[in-house]
Amino acid sequence: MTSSSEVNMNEIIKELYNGSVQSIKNVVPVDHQFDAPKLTTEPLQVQYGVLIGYSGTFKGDLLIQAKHNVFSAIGEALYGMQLSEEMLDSFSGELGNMVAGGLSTHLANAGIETDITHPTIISGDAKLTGFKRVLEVQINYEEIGGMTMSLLLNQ
Amino acid sequence: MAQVLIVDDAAFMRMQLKNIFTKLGHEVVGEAENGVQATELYEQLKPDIVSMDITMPEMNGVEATKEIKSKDGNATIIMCSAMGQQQMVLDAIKAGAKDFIVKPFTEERVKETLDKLL
Repeated sequence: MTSSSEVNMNEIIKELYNGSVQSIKNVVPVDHQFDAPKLTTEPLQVQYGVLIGYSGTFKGDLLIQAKHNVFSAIGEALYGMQLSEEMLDSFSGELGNMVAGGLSTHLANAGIETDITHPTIISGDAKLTGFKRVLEVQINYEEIGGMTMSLLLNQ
Repeated sequence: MAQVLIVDDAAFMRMQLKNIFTKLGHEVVGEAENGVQATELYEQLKPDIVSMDITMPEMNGVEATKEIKSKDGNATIIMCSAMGQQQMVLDAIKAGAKDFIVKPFTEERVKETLDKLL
């Protein structure tokens, strides 16, 4: 038998997936393909990415990972300019903020109230643990490269 | 030509907004990266328009808007946030913001707001 809290969590996961896909399509209007989503409990290895925390009905984090050159090419595609290394971190943070904000708006429309933190840039060789499970989606941008969007679920 | 104060914790977004305001013929007189700096700079510069992010460290944009409006009821503040949910918009308008632009935005969207408010 399925409990009501599991049903509720499944509903939240469905909205998280739909909302994050919709949000990244809106923020990054570049030709792309999505791989099938994966649910895992394994620790995450991060070379470069942006992490944004969620509080409210959904507690967890959104992590967007890609190589520097992928973030840089997306910045160039969106804003028509090459980004310096210093400005690249700021752009990556803002990209994460816009995707996370779009997801938060989608969740609010589905009756799930959340707030987001300002972005944290992760650079180097980091291992992330401390979450219960991760919903991961790989996005492949044509002529740019791959990006991984992960929702770290604490519940 | 309006004098503009840009408030956003992301240097990249401040650069984007500065480019847009300048291209539209306005003068960016100051930039702040959190709500505390925004209230201080507002008092010093008395700009015609403030573009205000919401999610920022130290003091968020809604609190900064309330603070600025409590000292200058005529302040013209545009919220500029990635969070576009109805409650967020309502909170911003209640705090005294005149308009709400959801990120990502276009130059045309910024122009439309400025044309309406100036």
